Amino acid sequence: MPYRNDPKVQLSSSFKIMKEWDGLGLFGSLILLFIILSVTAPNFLSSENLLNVLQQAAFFGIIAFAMTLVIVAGEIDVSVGSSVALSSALLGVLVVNLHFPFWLGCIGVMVYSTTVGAFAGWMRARFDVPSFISTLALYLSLRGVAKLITNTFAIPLNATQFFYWKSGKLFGFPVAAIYMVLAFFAISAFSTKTVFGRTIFAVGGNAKAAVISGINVKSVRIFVFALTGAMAGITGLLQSAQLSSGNPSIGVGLEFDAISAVIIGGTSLMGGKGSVFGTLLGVLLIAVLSNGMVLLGVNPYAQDVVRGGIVLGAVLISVLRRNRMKRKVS
Amino acid sequence: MSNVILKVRNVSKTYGPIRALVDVDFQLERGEVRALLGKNGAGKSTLVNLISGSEQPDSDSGGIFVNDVKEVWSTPMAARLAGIAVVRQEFSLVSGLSVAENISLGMWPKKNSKGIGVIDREKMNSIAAKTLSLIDQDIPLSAEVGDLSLAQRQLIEIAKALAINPKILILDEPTSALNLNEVNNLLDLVRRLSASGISVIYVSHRMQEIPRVADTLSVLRDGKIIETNLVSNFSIDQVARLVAGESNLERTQIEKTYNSTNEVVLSVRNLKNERTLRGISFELHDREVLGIAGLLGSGRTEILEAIFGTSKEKIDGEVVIFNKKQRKRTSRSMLTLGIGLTPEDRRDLGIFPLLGVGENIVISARGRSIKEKYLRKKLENNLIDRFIHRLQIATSSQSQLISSLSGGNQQKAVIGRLLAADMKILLLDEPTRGIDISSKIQIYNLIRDLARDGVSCIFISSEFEELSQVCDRVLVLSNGEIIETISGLEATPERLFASTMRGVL
Repeated sequence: MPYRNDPKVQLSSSFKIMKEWDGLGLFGSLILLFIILSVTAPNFLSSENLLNVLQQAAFFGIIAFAMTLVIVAGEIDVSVGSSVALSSALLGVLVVNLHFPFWLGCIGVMVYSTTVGAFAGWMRARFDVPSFISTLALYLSLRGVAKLITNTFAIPLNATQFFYWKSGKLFGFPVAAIYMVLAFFAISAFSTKTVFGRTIFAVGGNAKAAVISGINVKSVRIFVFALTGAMAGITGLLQSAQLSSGNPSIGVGLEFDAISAVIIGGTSLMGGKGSVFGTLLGVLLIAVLSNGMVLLGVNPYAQDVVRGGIVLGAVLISVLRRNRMKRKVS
Repeated sequence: MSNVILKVRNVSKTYGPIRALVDVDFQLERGEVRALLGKNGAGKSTLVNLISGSEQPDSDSGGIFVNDVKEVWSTPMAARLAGIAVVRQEFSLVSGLSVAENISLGMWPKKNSKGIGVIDREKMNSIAAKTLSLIDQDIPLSAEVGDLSLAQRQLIEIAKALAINPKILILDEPTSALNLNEVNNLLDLVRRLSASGISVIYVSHRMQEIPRVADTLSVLRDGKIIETNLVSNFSIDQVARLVAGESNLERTQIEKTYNSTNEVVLSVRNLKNERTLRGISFELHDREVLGIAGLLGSGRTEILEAIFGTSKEKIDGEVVIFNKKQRKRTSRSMLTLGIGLTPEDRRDLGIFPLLGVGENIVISARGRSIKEKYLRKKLENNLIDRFIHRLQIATSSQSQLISSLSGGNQQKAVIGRLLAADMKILLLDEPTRGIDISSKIQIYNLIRDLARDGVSCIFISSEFEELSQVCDRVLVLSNGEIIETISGLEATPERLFASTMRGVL
């Protein structure tokens, strides 16, 4: 795998080939898709369009990086789309209706989103509520709260409050894309370089062994959800900036794109294995594909069918690979 | 200063109605290697769990003392910090992590103790390299543990235990996954550790290893330590006899219904899988109760799964049932033929915990002995009543949740499920494990009654007494091979024990 965190891997050559194939296959697919779209889709290669792809990628990519850690820990978070919506709505309510200073409104949103994430993690850690269930409940109720506090209407925000965001660009780059790059490096380094980050892999791989070895499993579980919540908060702010409003209807289906990117990136749904770099490739693949399909004028419903099919295919490949590896080992 | 490092005084452990340990006293000196022996269920694992902090002794019993200080550990980690390391049979490794990461799992070094705790890979590698050199192993530190062989994983497990510089090292069946050469290295290693002052508790079934590695031995039987002595005072045979004990069941006279001229109902030829089974052949006759004796991991369960078609591995060999060769075996096709299995893991594979006793009994009968398309309450209730009565299942009603019954009654219901579906051959995998003595006797009698009525049976058990009591013939299994077939009359517990032990020498 090109994104292996340890370059000194000395595995038998057959494993090496098989593992490299996984990362390379994804990378190859991305390049291939890129080439095909360059040829077939009008305007695909224009810098304006490519920057637009990056911005679209950021709107679910930042969350996908944190989601990688949630899935590595053996959990899932399906509430992120609704959390983004409530973040945006809350910003509007705080700043416009309650006249908070703009910076305080942003802090309020971050506090809210991180706390809700931590709450889902705590439900898992403390009461063993399956994370799918608790986040499914949040998926519904957070969106409900967002619509309640805004009366389902978007609250216009003064675009000038968003500093660089009013043009949406910093040195020619979409601000959201810059956030995505920063989030990628931070979360990727955290997960491979720090003790706590690497501990997530131990918990997801074998929680029992982690307990015996004195690892604080509960704090790991709470943390990964809190981080994902925080990333949903940031995404909510970025989307509000782009729309110049606090909007309770955004983020629909975002959890699907984020989780898809993680799975396409090779992270195991069983937990314990995965990488943020793989997720980055997954994010780019989805963003490029979506953009390409729009440029090619593919029917939006057909686009959904394609995206669903790709996720199914990615899971199938990873399951088949795991079975083959198992047979190889025994 | 006394040389005693570990003292277990008057410790008992009770699980519900079962007393797993009764007033155990146990002392270990610095640098001593103590072999801990006993049959399955004698209390070895319980004692290990108490000493290593995985479980706590009964509150009204004595205590565990390290260097004369009473210790009460609420977690295994607390015991680890106190210098007690355990290498368990079931692995405590994380397969997605590297060798180095696993060895120092839970105490990864940081580059600076303050700040964001960046992993100090260099230090982590040096810890791992140091412990691996202690055990003379040269496994690449960055290899993923999931890619290693079983033997290598066992060694990593030992390295992980040594990484905390333990005072007391507990090895629970450490050689079961190793080949001869690796076993020799391990035994040498244990001697070296003991010479450096580490005390070792060595749990093993392999008699041959005991005199080579241990100074002293303790024998557990029925939750009590019945002997503690120098190893040099005993021969291997004497130790085997101590462990096996006298038959403590009353040998009821059982009418044997089998003779070798009975027709063969099931025959197995050269059954093999990739790892555990190495060419198994035997025949089961009509009205015969055929026992299989063997230690954990000898391939007992795998044989039944291979016949019943629930094995996940690829199976080679031939299975002939009622004179017809069965190539594609699935649990459904076997049940249709009249062959049923009761799994060893009753709780997870045997019962439907959220259904009532009645539904648990009748569930395999639907579509088989009861052929109606729609549920016929009355028909089912009659059938259920018959088996609740016949098996003497103690339940308030058919609808009582099976999970609220005792283990013995659950087991009887699981067997009843096969009988209600009209099975002709029963594959019983440890049917008496963890159930009370009176249920055991009922199950023995049931098996014999069934044999008389024309049901043949393969009966796996870890308890030699019951094999001896119930079976017409006993196959002794070791490392996936049948090493001896003993007729029922000769199959005394002592003989069975000696034979299984011979297999692992």
